[in-house]
Amino acid sequence: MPAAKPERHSAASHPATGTDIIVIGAGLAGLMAAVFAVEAGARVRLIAQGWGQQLVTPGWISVCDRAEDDVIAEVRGYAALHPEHPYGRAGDDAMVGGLERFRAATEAVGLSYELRRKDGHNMRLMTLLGGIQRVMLAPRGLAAGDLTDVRGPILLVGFAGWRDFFADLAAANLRRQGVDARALAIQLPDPDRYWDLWPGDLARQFDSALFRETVARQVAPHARDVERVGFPAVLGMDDHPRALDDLGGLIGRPVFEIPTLPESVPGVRLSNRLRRWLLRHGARVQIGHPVVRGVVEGRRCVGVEVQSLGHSTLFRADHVILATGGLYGGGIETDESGRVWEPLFGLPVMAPETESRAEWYYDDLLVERGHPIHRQAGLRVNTRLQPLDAAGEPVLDNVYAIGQMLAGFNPLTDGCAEGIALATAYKAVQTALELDE
Amino acid sequence: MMHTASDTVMSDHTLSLIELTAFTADHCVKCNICTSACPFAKVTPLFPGPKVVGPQWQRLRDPDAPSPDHSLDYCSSCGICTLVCPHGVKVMEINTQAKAKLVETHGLSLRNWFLARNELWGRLGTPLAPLANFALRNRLVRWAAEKVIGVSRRAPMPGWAGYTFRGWWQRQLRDHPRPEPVSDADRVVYFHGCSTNTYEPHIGKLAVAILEHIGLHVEVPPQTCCGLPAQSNGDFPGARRYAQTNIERLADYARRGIPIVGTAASCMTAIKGDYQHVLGLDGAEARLVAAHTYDFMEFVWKLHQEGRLPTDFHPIHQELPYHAPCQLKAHGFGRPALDVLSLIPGLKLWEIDADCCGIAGTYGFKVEKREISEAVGWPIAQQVQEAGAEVVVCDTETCRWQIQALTGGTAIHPVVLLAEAYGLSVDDYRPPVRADKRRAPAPTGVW
Repeated sequence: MPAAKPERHSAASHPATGTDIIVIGAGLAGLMAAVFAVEAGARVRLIAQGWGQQLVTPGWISVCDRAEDDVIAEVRGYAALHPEHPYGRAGDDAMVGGLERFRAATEAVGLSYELRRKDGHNMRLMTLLGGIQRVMLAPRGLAAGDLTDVRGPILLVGFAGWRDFFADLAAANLRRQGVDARALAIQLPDPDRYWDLWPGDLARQFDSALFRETVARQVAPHARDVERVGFPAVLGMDDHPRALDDLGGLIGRPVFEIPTLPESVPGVRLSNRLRRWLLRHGARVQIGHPVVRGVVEGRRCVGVEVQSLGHSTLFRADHVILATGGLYGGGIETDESGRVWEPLFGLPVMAPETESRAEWYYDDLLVERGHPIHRQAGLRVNTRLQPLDAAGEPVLDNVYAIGQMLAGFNPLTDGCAEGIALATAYKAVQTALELDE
Repeated sequence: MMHTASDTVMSDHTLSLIELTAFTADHCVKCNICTSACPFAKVTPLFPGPKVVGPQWQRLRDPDAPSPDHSLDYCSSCGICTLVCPHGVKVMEINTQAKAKLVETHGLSLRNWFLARNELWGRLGTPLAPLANFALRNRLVRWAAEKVIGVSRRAPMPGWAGYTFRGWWQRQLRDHPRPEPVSDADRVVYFHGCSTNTYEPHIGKLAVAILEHIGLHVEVPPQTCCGLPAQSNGDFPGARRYAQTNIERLADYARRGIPIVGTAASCMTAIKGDYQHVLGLDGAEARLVAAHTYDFMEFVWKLHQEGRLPTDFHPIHQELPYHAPCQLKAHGFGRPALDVLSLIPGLKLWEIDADCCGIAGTYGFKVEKREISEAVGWPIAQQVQEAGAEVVVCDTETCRWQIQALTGGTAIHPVVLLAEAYGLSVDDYRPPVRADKRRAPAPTGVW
């Protein structure tokens, strides 16, 4: 994949100017669809009931976690053999384009996401418990923890009394997997000042140079003979890049971040910065009141109705991108009768081919390939990402489905949810604005 | 009063149990998204955040026992938690109801009672405006007010206009009687709110000028405070009295299908949403009034979508920042001010990235909370200063006063720009942004 360079986000000369796009959903797919559409010159309204799951997930971008060597080649090969898979539907260009545009957009808002591996392989990043996860792309702080090329011991730093990260437990688990890891618990200055320390509270502390110095003074003596130093992903909120570099400088070793329990600070940073970028580029960002239905005339959606206070409000659009999520995001709903449906447009949903609802789940929670309801429920789409009816015909001409609501993959276990979010967000904008024709 | 299942059965509509405010706590999955977004928990360790005091402690609140949690007092009820929750938990509403329980148990402080009666001070101060305004601006008086009752001396205070909007309107009708419209379809009710009535009557005058320019017959029925200041101070009995009065006075218009339009976005939030979801007034009349109530810019945008808005605008060659107040966001109608003002040739608005200005109604007036309030609003000042802007556009009055205090600039209601573009003016107000009236206004395209 060629290095992405930040592009100038100008709408002035683009043919899409004058096209109204509504994106429903503020997870990674919806947020990035909004960004891509603004970059392409459309007038964008992002409407969502609350923020999406990037605020609770680790913050890295899984493209194809199981890939043993070149990730993109693996995805290309898989997509060619599985046209029903969202990667197959979106196509190679969208997969590569989505990743490139994502890197450019995040770079433009001051957050760099790094591939790090020159050979196109997945990185090996550690989890909160000291597990090792293969991931292709990650924010700079997480990517700096890539264990592929670790040469010396690493030091994991936790905060004494903080219940969200136990450095000794994580280090012990890493050692079991052959990584020379040590643990250190440091004292937080003034711990009684807080009711409770959420990751975000700590991250805002790390925005302060004084706080970083206090931390570095405790860590530096233990870091002399280690290769790098890992902290929970709380190294700065608004001033993260500086916090990361500064702390590394003070300790005298590179530092990296480890994903935490929710809130996910890398996800908060991303959402905050992209929201500000969207607002400054004229997009509307309407978080709160949900879209309750799509308004359809013939085969076109003319707008969506939002359940605002007192009465509903109609928002008109030329195109609607549906990024409302899967079973746990509200994009697909079920009830005790075993019905499975899409609530806004009543779009046809694929459902597990089981006798009863009881068979939606296996007995073992962490079963490797996932439960039937996660693997099989979703919207079937064509290569333009238009939802299809049972006969394989598009239901609506100007509605596109993206992200976790798509059929053909298991977003919980397949290790490609973020890659699919980006590929399909990119593809939907390309299709809506006819940029790919 | 908390909802109970039997209330629901007896009322004229049916909410499923899980939709009732207190029970939405059961939707909480503890994802912490509300805590990460809370503008107040971010800047003070005194408030543990909306998840903790909301859905988490809700499980420990026995309706028959006194409220155990005092940190709740540091919640501003800005409502950002409710908006960002992906699961539909009414976090702010739960917290505001719990605050009322605190007041029920411990009583209302003199200071909070004072702040909850803005309507009363507006009326009492009007005939004494020169003296009252002198007192407000006198450092010694403000110092004494801070020490004695706890109203921050740094809090931005409006001045009394010395006359009321209602009085001006009565004189208008007497001097220039308006013909009765043929049908109710041409009627509109204007809800001015306390601030426009006594502190900033020019906003009401511009608003009715715009409505009449559009061709509507404006009525200004008797009305009182929306009740929001009492509600956010936990004085639910007081808030319900105000709310009931408004519902009674507006219900007949709503029944006739006449829209009720107001320029104070936060008052309109109260009428449209809080009466039901916070105060528990969810009878047929309250719902009918809510269904026919609009924020001013929401209403104007609706008229535009229906093809009823004249677009004979003079250009305004300006680029201005816009702040969407937290209570405007609570409407869920998007940013109609931005949509409407984008119709004016030459005018470019951009939205400041800030959830709340920090004033949150009366929160930022309290001495122990003033510093928190300023810290919450600081991102607004930063962005405005970075852009080099001197004028900020904002739909609610207390936010405008706060923004003026934080930025040292001017903050105006969107009606100021709309009226200026239409070439409408009032005698005692000179807008800080002027339209280019050399050229004849030209109709603009549809957004």
